[in-house]
Amino acid sequence: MNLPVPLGYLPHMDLGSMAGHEMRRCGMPALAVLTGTAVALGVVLVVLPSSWAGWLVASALPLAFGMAAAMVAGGEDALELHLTLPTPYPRTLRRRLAVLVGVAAVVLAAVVGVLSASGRVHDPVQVLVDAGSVAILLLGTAVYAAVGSGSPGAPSAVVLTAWLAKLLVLDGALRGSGTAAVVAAGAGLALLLVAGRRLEDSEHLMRAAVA
Amino acid sequence: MAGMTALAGTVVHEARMAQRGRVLWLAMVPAVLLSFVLGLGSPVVGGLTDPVARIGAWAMLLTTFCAPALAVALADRFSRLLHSRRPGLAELLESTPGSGTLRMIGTLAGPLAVGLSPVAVVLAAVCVAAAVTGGAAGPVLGAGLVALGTIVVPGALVATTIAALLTLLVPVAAARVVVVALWFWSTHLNTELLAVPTLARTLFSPLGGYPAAAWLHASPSWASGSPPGILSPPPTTPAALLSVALVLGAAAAFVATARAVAGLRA
Repeated sequence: MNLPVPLGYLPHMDLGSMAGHEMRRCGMPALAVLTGTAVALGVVLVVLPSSWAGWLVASALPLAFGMAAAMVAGGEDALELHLTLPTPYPRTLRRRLAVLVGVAAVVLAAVVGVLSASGRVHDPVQVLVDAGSVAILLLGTAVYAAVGSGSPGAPSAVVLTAWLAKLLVLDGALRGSGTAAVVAAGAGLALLLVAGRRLEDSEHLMRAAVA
Repeated sequence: MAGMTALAGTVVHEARMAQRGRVLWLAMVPAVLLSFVLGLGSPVVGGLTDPVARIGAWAMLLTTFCAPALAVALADRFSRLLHSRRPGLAELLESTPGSGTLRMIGTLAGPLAVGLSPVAVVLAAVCVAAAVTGGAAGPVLGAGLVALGTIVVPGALVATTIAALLTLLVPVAAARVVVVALWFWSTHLNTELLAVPTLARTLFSPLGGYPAAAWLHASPSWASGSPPGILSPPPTTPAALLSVALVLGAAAAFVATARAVAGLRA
């Protein structure tokens, strides 16, 4: 399974078995968090006024996604083993995060679609842009913090703080414009870039894992 | 006596382990910085002229953002204790004088004390600033200690214990999301914001509105809603004492429940 072929898999593994394998390695709880949050949002939104619906979806779903990303990025127990495998650990992590991002995109599209069809969200594109920008910020934060800590606890807390900072500082400073979404997404991508470089440094990964 | 020694030993050991690692610092420093930035920019906190009221407002602000961060960072403490996969560790722990309950308390209390230290530093800095800008040193120091003991510590305790309990019942990532939702529901989602049942502005709220209003000159609106009800009486000293006792009692109940759940799983 860990051969130096283009995708790092044995050639006879098809896409379905590969995805199933990555979902198991990614951790079903991490994927279930997103679905669970979506269901909880559905229940909550039945009793809440519709003016809250867009904001709640654009805030709560990215937070659940960020927490799940922190768990995936920081929850690897056998890092030393990974560093001995032919498939580089950064590639393994990218594949796991890709599964999570895919599930998150489907869940977000489904929730916004249902809310839009039922008339509770009037501007679904805006909700998707807002949620997407926060999700990118929290994904970058989670991976960056996980590379530095080697455990899922600290990245999860940093994700929470970044989420609060986006809602209370960034949105407050850049109220009523799309700039906040651009800044959040830009910051997230920059963090992902820096984290990606640090991930290539296996010595740094080992230091973080034992700290 | 042996139990107390074992508890103190566990707490000190866990605190040293947490202090040496970078997990708690990485989790807490951003949360404290965010609170600091919000406090400096907020007229509700920085605009107060009464030094004691300013300390109370800072304590509630720090608790609002640092308690959930601490709870999220320490959420897996109980589940790690139960599901440790290091060979021989469970047997080694069983051979120590401490019981399972003491180990659970120690494994949470030690890191909690370390995690609250940056919060205490900021609160101390606020007290110094309040004393320098016109407050008498005695009342300001007293207000700082009251704020730490009745607002910051109980809030952090209840948040971390419920997070640690939840991780024994649901997956850790889910527990972290749930505890954030529970925290803001029970501290800030009041009925003026949204007409839903909430613990905010009641005796059960872990924000510390009652001690802040009763002892630290905070506005009564931080404690009880209007009109006052059975669960949200006016913020008098007995009501504040009852509120602190209820929050600490809730934390103790969460630890006891976690111990019972761990016992059932063992």
